[in-house]
Amino acid sequence: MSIKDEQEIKERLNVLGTVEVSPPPYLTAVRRGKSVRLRRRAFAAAGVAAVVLLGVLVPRLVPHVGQPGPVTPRYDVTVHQPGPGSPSGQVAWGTINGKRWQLRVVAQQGISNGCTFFGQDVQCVPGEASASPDQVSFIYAMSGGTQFQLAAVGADVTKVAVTLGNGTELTLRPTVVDGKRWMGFAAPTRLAVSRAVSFAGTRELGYAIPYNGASGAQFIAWLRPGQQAAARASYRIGSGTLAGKHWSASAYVGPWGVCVEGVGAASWCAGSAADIQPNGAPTSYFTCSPGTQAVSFAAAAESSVATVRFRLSDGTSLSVRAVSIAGGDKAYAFAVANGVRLRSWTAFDAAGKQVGTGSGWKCG
Amino acid sequence: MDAAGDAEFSDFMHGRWAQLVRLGYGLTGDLQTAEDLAQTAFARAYASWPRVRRAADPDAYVRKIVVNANLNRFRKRRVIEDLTAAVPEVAHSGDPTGRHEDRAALIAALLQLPYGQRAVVVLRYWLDMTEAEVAAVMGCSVGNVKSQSSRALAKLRDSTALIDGGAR
Repeated sequence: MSIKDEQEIKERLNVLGTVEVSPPPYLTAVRRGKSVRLRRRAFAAAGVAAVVLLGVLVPRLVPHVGQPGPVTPRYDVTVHQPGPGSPSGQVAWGTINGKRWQLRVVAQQGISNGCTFFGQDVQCVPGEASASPDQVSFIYAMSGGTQFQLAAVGADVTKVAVTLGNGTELTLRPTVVDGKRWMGFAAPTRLAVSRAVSFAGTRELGYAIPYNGASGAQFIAWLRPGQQAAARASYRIGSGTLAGKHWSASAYVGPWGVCVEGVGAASWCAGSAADIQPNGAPTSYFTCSPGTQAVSFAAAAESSVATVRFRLSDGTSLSVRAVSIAGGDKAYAFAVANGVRLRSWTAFDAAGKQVGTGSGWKCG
Repeated sequence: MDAAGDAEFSDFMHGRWAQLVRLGYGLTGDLQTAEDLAQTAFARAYASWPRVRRAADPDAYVRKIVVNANLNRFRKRRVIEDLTAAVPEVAHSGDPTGRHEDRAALIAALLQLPYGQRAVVVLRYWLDMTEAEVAAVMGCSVGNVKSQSSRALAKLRDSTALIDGGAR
């Protein structure tokens, strides 16, 4: 028997549930946890002691230091191309506040896609990442407050200028590794990336304004030179309380496309609001996330839909209001407790007239 | 941590221990290693329990530790993963359900996948996580998850381990 589809692999994987497991070593885990905590506290105490010592010594050593102003993080970010003697596979290197980083494309034992962090030496196996001649296709990874952006670069692209939120402009130039063209940079996650502009020689090919989420900048949509970017707007598409906890979800529309926060741990993005439009039905979900206590959904609806009512497996029903997000498109988010299934949905217009109905959704 | 926190952590660990060990088993093919990984995850969760319990998804926290701790295991020890269709667990002849054979065949097939693809398969198709959640756990993009998942399925379709070991 071989695997023919996703359902079949799911069924085959069920056998993992039959693995006999010994009882949880609760006391050992707690003992180890306490020693981890003690070690962390010792490091923190040493750090505080060092800061206090500096606080005492520095004013004495530097008599003309004035009153400290408000603390604003200052970031000095640089990026450089590999030079002679650079490690193999190096795409770019640079510094963040003097601390050196490097980004490499490698073939790594055991990994076919993704990045591994060796401190600030980031080794990425970008799989089949590729770009058409005039394209720049970024993937990103985050570690320890630093975002690493690696891009597959098309044959026509000779330069990409990246502007960071503090005004720093980074010039990225392609490096060829194993016959493919790459470029990359690193920046603090807390520092927004304002825009990137790609060039073929002196000719501008396109520009992108990324979505700056909690885990870094996401380059999704690229625009042609001079093309007007969509205006930025945010919409609360759902909120509520479930099992005593408040939740809310928002959609952020802008030059990057549309990104949704609050449904799952990571932000979810699409290149445009058109990409999330329901297909052939008045409403359909575009992302969902099963959590420990609830399953949350984000869905899109046709412009005629005002509310959607879900019939739930526990016998109750849930009504959700669809919110206009951009150009007449609508979206909404909701959450149901774990174990409660969506039996069916019915969509209504503003007058309360039924405009469609369908069977329930399952997350996954 | 106070008694209430300890009790809460105890509930958390007892409720999730088996699933986390099985996740580790799917990733490593070795039960003892899987238990070590799960224990590491819970020890770290205990150390940061006030923060973990407030997190939107505490399960994601411990899963992420298991997936990444296994990667670190490779890194620190420079272990070359021994990819073999012959897994240590031998099917029992007196197993009327064929469960042991199925499991051995499945693990052999999973071990033939590169680590990233294997992690995606187990997280996505066994734990039923969404692509975005898998991406968050693995620290990569949703696009990466999609491509790894599709390549893994293609390999599993042609897996001799599943064809030979799972045929009944």
